[in-house]
Amino acid sequence: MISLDGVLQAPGGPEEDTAEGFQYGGWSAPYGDEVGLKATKKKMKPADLLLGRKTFGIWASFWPEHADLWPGINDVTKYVLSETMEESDWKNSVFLESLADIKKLKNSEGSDIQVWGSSKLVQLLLKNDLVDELWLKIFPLLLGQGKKLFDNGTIPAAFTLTESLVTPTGVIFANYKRAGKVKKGTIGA
Amino acid sequence: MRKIIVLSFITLDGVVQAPGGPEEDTLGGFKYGGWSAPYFDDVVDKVMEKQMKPADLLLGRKTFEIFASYWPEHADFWPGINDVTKYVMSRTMQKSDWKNSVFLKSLADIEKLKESKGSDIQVHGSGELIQLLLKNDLVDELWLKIHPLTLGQGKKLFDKGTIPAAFALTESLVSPTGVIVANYKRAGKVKTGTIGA
Repeated sequence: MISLDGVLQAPGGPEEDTAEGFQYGGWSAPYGDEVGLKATKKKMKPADLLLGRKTFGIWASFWPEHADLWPGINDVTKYVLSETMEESDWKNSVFLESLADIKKLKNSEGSDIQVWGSSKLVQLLLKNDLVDELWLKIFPLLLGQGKKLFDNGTIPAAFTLTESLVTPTGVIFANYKRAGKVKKGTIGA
Repeated sequence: MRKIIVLSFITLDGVVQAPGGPEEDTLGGFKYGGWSAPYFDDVVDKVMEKQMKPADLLLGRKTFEIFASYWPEHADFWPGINDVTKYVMSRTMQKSDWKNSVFLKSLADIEKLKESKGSDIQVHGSGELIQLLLKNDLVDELWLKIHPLTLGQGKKLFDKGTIPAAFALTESLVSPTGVIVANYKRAGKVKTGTIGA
């Protein structure tokens, strides 16, 4: 979930992530509608997750008791990148320490791996060209502050739009997959 | 009151620098000039043709200079471009050979222009000017063409001037090359809530 200016901090609620005094937590909530819900549910099919430490902390305190809203969430493997954390009560949590661990995970057999939230981790993944697909939900607002999806880690990279959908409240769902290098040209030439 | 409409080619990471060609704007050593060209298809072409109907323009000095060195001789590609008024925000420039160019010096001049009678006013390029407009909540509509790539460098549309602001999506369309054409208009303050509450 991102705003037009690329902010992804705390879309779900005021208490989700108030780092740096962020005051707009819950900015995505007014745009919830049936179409968005259906498209989101489709994406929440069981798949292993890769999360940053902060996102994992938020999730581990919520999802174990709310698995009816996300069937399978307790059963899939939660891979967590953290330099400090080594264990959790949430079952099927596995801790990774380094980029090398992520690369090994990516080369292993298993389901596709979904990353949610985890802005710092996403910077690391983007920087090392480890993101195969982006499933964005672009909300019709500007925030002018807060953590961004495409920040210091962003590299030049072309994508292909594979799926898109517009909800009645004006959210654009856009799925992209990596498609090689950035190409250039001259318009009209 | 005249509406101010910002038209931008933009990447997924919000870069707007030099979409049209390698020489357009190389500031900061930008090497990806012309990034939008591979995505220019019939659908984008048609949308641009529709959106570039004669309207007065508000431009920053740098964009104005680029336009002034190109469009007077290429008006067949942008009918009416020589006839509309080009309002240029500049502290230093006061005249131009391009006809119907008018120079503005301050935010107050822009506000006065916005309050006057006339066509809607389009802003193209003009990265710095847009920051000033956004910061002062003078942008009524955003007509974006979101291109399927990231650049990781270059001037951004939503930079230091960005304030919290809600918009309504008024029109959208996807081109065969994966460009999302999305028009937004201002819609009050940002509202918050809790998902599922």
